Amino acid sequence: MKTKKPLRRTKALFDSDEREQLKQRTALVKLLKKLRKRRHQLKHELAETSDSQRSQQIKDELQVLKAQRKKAWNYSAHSMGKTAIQRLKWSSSDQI
Amino acid sequence: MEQRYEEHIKSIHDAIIAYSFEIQLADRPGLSARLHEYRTAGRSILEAVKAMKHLNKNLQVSVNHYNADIREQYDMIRRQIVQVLRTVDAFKEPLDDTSSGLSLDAERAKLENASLFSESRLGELLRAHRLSAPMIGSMLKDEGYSKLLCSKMLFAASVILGSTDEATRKFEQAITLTEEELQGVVQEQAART
Repeated sequence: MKTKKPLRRTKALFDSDEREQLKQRTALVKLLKKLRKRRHQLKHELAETSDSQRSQQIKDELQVLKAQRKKAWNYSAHSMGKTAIQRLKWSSSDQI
Repeated sequence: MEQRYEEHIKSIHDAIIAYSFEIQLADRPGLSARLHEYRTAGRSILEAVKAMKHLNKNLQVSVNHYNADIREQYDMIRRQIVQVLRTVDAFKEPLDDTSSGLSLDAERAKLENASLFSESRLGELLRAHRLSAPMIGSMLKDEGYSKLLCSKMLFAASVILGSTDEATRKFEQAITLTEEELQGVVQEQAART
């Protein structure tokens, strides 16, 4: 039967550690996407604002984001290996 | 405030602690760790309330103080606390989907960076006899209480209002900047300006 093989694979996935890894990877990707989105928001706001105090605040937050993304990058590379990171498919402009 | 603290906060906190130790979660390590986090967050809230207790008297006196310089300095403390409360509120009910447990790090860095009272300004006020040495001493002590209050509130918020998904929490905790990393960011911020 054509469905047997994929069913077997699905069952193997559910029974294996890979399922847990997949869950973790999804959570990490979600978190990284949030950071990326926030960074885009801030950069956009920085380009728009003429208020020097606000601009200073944005730059400060961007610095914090940079440190977080660097840490996230190192953490994911360490805990999931490079292949997993490549799957995140960050464009070159998103690199830290 | 003392009485309210004893009746409404400390007694409830003690009861929660007693209950959390009574329930058996030995067979569920995940829940047990979570309970430990909640206990730590509860203690942070208690410490924040205690700091507020110390601050309260001077904050109230300063509202209508005849000395405008004192009012001005204590307004900075008020602003700092309100800013943190707003951040916690925004974290609780985010306006968009970019909010995560890491959103509070920016506020933590701000706190780390912030010295509310400029030393040169205080020196100036002292030399001009606009503030006395004991007044400045009190203000600096209150600045410390305010900082403690804010950092405890941010920590408690990150635990209590953070993600309920275990995998997400795990990553958020791993990626949240440590004190040393925050110091590094603050130094970079200072170098930039």
